Amino acid sequence: MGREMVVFKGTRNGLVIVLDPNREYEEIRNTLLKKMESAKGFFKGAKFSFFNGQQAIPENQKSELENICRQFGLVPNAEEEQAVLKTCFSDNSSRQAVTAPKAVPFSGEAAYLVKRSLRSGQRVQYPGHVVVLGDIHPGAEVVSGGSVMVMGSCRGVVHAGAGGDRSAKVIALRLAPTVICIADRRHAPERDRQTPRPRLARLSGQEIVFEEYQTGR
Amino acid sequence: MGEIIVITSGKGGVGKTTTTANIGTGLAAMGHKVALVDTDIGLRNLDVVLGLENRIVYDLVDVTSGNCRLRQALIRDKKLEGLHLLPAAQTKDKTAINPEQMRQLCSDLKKEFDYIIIDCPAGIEQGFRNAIAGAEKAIVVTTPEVSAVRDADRIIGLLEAVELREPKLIINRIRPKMVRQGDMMSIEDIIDILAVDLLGVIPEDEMIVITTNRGESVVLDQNSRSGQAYRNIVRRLTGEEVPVLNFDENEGFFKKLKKMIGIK
Repeated sequence: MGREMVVFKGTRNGLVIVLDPNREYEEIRNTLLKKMESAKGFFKGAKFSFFNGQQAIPENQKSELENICRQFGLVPNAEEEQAVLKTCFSDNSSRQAVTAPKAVPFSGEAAYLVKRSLRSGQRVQYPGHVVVLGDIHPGAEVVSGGSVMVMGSCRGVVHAGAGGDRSAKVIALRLAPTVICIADRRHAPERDRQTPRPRLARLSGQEIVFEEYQTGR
Repeated sequence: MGEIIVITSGKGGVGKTTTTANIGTGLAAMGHKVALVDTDIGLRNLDVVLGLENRIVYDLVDVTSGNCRLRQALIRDKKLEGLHLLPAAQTKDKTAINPEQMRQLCSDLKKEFDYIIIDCPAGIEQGFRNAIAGAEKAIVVTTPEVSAVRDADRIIGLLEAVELREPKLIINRIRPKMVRQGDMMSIEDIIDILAVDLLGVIPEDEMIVITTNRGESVVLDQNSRSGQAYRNIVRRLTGEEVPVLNFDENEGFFKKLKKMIGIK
């Protein structure tokens, strides 16, 4: 066997998972899953990104792989992926890239911005956080690997922490979802005519709890 | 150059065809030149509602497939000079035409008519895609039921996706008494969910059934509230500002008394 299908490399920018571009995706995914299982939480909390030779990984495959990693407690590297890869994998010139100051000092995590309301039958799925600048109507669906924030009414189906992130939250100016899921927990709230105040939903043990939203939480 | 308006709903049975007939008749009664196009191929109804069934020679599919000229297929209304119907084919199905043919047809009609009103079939499949293909504006009809409102929301999403933005809403068959008792969704509830502009509200009215079965249009009936509601919608379509009808006039004696002495 010449080359391993999935190799973990520790770098100063976090963990880089090197995939063999010459292998079938199914094989890679199964190997990743096996390695993660045998590591038993060894990588928990580590930032990670993927490297697949010179080839780009198709978006749907990538999000599936990312979700596997999330299930084992890894955190996707929020920094520009190409920049990370450059510093880790190109030749000598990369050394300079590491020491050079970053053009944009950036902290926080990337989120997908939905600049409209989602109507019945419309669906947004994203491996990271999702911010909706509008309402989520009944019959619409948002599936997010991270947290979901709705600058409006959330009345459809919302799934935060879809990859297993139990710290994911759902925040909405008016939080009245048909069904809400966080990580692997599912809850269908009773229809209530609550006062439209910003609320937050999070996991407390195995329960999804709702509370009034306060800044800084 | 005319204006091309599609009337759609997603759910069936909410009053698309009745609304198409009444808006078309109302516009024609105001002196406009109107063409109604029935795109519900295989389940045509608009001709029946207008009482023009027995005059059909050619239909929509005959026109798009080149069997006849557009003029030959257009049926003149019995009473109103400016009202014309292009009926759907009954023995074919929705795949007999395609969106490109509809666009061509609409642009041909646009040269001759002030308003082209397209009656859309229920559903979101090819019939719907054909109907909206040539449209410039959309009117969404719903009733105060969760299922109809949900479907209307889906339809509005699909309309927005093809750049038919800001569709106007008609709420049909509202029963003011049930709304007051909290047993029916109110106009405000529906607008809150759908977040679109309201074009008009039609109250539940037996006159609709009576006129429709006779092949007449309630919009020409001066005594009914539904007729008044449709006339208001027609006026709004032509750019007039008309306030929404107040349906509370038939409230009970005690309520009126309470209002008079100020305990609401």
